[in-house]
Amino acid sequence: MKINKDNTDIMTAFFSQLEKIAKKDKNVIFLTADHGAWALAKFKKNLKNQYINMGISEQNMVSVAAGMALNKKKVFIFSITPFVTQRCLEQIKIDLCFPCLPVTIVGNGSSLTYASHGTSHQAMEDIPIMRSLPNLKIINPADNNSAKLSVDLAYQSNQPVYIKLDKGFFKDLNFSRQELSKGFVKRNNKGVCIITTGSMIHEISEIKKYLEKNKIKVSTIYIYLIKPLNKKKIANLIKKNSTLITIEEQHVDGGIGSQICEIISDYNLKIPIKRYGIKDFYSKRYGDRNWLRKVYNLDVEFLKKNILSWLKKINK
Amino acid sequence: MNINLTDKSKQIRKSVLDIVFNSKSGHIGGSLSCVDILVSLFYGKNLKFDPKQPNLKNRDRLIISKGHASAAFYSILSSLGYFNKKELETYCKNNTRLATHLNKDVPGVEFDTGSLGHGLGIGCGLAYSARLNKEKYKTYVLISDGELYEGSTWEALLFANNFKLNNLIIIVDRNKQIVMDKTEDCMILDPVADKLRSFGFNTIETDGHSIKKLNEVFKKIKKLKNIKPTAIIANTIKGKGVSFMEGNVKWHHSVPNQEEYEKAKAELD
Repeated sequence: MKINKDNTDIMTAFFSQLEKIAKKDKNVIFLTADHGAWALAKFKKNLKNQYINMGISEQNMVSVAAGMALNKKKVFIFSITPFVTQRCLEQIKIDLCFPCLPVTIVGNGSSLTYASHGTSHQAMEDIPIMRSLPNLKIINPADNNSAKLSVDLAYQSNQPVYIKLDKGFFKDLNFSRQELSKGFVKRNNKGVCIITTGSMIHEISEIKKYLEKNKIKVSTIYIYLIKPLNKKKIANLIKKNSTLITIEEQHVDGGIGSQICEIISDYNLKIPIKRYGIKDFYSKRYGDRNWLRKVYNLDVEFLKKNILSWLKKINK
Repeated sequence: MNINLTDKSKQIRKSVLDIVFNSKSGHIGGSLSCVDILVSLFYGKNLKFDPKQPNLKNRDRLIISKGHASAAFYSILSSLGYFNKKELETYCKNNTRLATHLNKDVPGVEFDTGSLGHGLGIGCGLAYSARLNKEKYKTYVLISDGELYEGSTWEALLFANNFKLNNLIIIVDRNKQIVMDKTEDCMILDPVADKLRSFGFNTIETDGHSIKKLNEVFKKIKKLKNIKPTAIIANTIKGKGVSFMEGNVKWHHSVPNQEEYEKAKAELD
């Protein structure tokens, strides 16, 4: 049975799109700090002159990409998320963001993807950190269509872009490119609004069904472009809702929950909000992604019940 | 010609001293150590550049990775006419373009530098893509020897060797001092030449204060038909030109008082 229309994983979708663009434009250069992907083998084979394995040298990879961007190259750099965002954070700040060079950072293994690999490979801090960098766009795709669009948006961008690229097979979300290009997608307008980003969107339908069974009207917002976020538009949309819930598989402080709180404050809205995300601690026990989500209270069963009990409590 | 260039060096050194004294900021020691290198590159006609067209397509690219040498580099640029010398008086004043570390907004500055260990990677990216673009210009990167402590510098050296970037020239301002210590007294760097040679570089050591020798080296490497990147180790003295600053760790970023200023100025005259 097909999981999605392409019957392919999100990385294959991403790299197929990148290869398509790179074939047409020889200025597209792909650098990897020795991180591979099955889908990347084709790119490497077909576009030898546009591909470099830099070795395990993330800092130099960013600086080299900046130097190439000065010479009008459109460079995509790639590694496991914490390595390509945190090991070389200063290079990202000074060599890419400050001069505003159009280099795309592709972090692979979004959030808890590399759950059993340990804390070194997990990426729960990237959004709070990267969100603080001026000039950087942040895109968080969650299916093949949004992953392909992220390649197009990054290619067209005149400024640095960070793409938080997940791993594995995801159902099609059926959001149009037009909708996604606006930065976020809202469904319904009334009741409780669940706001989420990245692959947690795939968990929302079950939570929504559960709440609706309990006679609670639910609307949803999927945030695709984390930065820049169209704050004014979101403020206008969420003020129609009675209550807000944010769910994200990343550090709860500094992620989209924090962004929504900032909007509430900036636009003087008075809406109750509950944030779910990874709490401020490192688990010293490991398992698969679903197991680790349970540790951080991000599994659907916990969320369903906890949200319902919170809603009952605030509506008393 | 060399007499003129020596005079030019003196003039630039005086400008460095004035900038630091007037603004009460800047890095005097590392600025004075690289003055002769910069004079040789620009006034010795070893670089392809045009102050009237700072973005000239075929200009050689010079990345000053030791961005703290801004007092020296801005003095050279203004002296060449990249911008008005009067602007040097704004150094570190409110709303200036001229901070203690280099700013790409200033004509002639190829990249914003300040944090050490970035410039060589940028230079590698420029040199590699210039080759892809079939562009003939050279990329020069001036690094401080302190940058040899940064891991990212060695990552970049590996890259330059791997791709045999013969259009890349690194100049190491080997003044043997960092902020608080002499390099060999805190964390040994030597033998720098052997290390760079073993990393695949065509390595040349020279006196970084002899404009004659620097000119010879820059001219010689242009004639070399090699497939290697080049590293020039310019042996220099931090604080060069002012006797009480030379080799004294105090003068990494100290500001002279009135008496010291006058003494230094008299020595530079």
